[in-house]
Amino acid sequence: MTTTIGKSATPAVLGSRQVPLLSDEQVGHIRHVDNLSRLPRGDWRHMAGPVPFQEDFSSYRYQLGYMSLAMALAHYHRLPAAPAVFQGQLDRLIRKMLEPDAWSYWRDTSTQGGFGPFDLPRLPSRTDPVAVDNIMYSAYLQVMTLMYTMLFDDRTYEQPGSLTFSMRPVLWGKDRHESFEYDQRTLNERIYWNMVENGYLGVACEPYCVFQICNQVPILGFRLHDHIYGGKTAEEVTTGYLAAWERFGGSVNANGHFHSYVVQQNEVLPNDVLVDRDLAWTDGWLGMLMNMWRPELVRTTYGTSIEQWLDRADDGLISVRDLSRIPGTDVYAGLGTLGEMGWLAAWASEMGDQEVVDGLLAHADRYMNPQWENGGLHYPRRDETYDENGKFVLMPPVVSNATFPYARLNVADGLRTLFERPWTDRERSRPALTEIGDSVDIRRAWYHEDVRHLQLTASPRHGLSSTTTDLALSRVWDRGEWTLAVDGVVVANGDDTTVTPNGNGHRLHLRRTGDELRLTLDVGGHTDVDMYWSNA
Amino acid sequence: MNPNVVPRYELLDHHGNSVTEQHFTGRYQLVFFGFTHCRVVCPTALTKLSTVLDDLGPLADRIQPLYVSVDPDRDTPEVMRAFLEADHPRFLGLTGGTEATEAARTAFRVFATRKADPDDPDGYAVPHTAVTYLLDTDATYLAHFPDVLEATEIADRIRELCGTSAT
Repeated sequence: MTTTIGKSATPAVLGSRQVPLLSDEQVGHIRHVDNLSRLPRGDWRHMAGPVPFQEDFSSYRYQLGYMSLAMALAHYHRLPAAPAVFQGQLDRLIRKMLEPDAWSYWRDTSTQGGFGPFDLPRLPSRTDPVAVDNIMYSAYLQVMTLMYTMLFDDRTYEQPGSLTFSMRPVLWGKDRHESFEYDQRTLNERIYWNMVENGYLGVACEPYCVFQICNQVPILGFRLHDHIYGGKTAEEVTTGYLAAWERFGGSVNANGHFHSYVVQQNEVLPNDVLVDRDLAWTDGWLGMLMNMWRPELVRTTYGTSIEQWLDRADDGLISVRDLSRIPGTDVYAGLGTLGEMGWLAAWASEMGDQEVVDGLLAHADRYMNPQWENGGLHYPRRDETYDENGKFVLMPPVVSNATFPYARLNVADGLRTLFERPWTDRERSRPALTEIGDSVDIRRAWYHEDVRHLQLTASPRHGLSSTTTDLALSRVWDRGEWTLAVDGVVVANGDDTTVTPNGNGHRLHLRRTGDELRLTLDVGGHTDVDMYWSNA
Repeated sequence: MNPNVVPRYELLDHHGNSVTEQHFTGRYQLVFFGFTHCRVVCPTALTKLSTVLDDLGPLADRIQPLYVSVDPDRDTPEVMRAFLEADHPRFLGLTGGTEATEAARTAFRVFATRKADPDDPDGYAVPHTAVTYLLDTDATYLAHFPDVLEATEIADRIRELCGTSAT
């Protein structure tokens, strides 16, 4: 069997007229993630969930991982000429991922003991969260740093020790601490060898438990690592993965749903056990990821399974069925925190099923209490599954903060396209917005290479009617003569090195500072900034 | 030095001699794990690696090809010798007791697990990873080659790593 790495037929360039403005909700999601990324150390407001020990799907590692993926996709597909919006926040999310709050659970979780019907061996505690198992953390960090390097060509995380896990409780005394140093390459290599050692079936999340879902993430990581540093690791691992899962009947069960995970044999369990239940969260979560390298299988699975999980109302709104209940019982499998609605919405977005995405988000907007805070859109956590009118209202933090933003900002085959065509110097050398004040949202940021046109649209952030911001445009020099317009009115001309404001442009304080062209912009409503280079 | 792979073994060669990784210092070691009852992966890999060695010319004389068993219950030194001398004569077989072969496998981070196989006369097979390792002349890890690489790619990499450019 072969994989499809590098074979997408999706278009790489949109024409000027095809670039839509981001909606209020889309920029609201970006702003909300940005707000969360700026919270001080230890402040996990809007992210804390009901389950202790970082054991459920709203664990900080998943929220940070999928917030990062959502923002990376938004940058790649929606606002490619606006690194100013994303670089800082993606960097801050990585730093939050390195906080002990996000990974120190592993000292307890690594001791295992069992889950659900399985009694499993107890193991010694491990502090290092990436050395063995725990792909449910390590792969997200792997992808977050490699994605950051791919998008911005910033080599911060290839420096030795740049990914350090430091455990230094005050009450341990001044001489006692634990510290584990990695960088994005040594982390990648560690994960790779764990994958090899386990026969490419995947690396376990909690010991002995190998989930298909979390092992899609390192495949993306290997792909990005191959892209940045060379190699064929992704091809090797995906080829091995197919063979390894074939021993369990493949990735999909007889009902057309994805297999969830394998509990590997150990001193308590004599044989590997495939956990084969039809699960909405497994379908949605795995589908949204695996599409990057197995699009035919995922699309087929979507066609046969998605409707089983959807609860359609007559008014076009869509929620999800009573999914967390273990079949034939009144027992809830995941304390109602599994986030099915978000995983399914994200999967639908990757499939390009806009009707389902819109229906799910419209239900959320009507019944799940959307809130605006500091210009950001979020849905407050709610732990009950249904309200007094029987409407589905469950809102785990991972849905509000990560998977709804992902669904609203992704495009059809969005992750797949990023997987197949990661950015190179070509994309990263185009004119772009590299600094912007935080009182404005960017609705459109695109450089049209064919017509040499940088197209930006800004608006005051939600809650402001007007504002003034400084902004910087980079990579604009040495490209020939140019014209700058604000809201269609020419404000300046220039050439390879100089800027010449006209009468309209003087109030914008246009100036060259180093490699940037800077201006001060009054923004009320949607404000267009267009820079055109002559074709001569 | 790769902290993830620290190749150590203490096994019997297919002549019945005790050997460790130090036995071959001064030569490069090309190491592949498998089992003689393997129907697809091992024959394919051993044939490919034999082609690589043919392609390397005189450089191959500085390389010791090794085939390490993951199925010690069946792969005695005698079985290994008969299998290799018949079809893959460049390779020296290594095997041993269960503990010794598992220790070698763990040191190289090779996956192998015994599975029921109705098509096998003994009723089982041992699926395993098909990674080839190149050890330096001091018996430390130098590189590894996944199964997806073609023979020419492996040969080019070995020339590069052993300081002999392709002509």
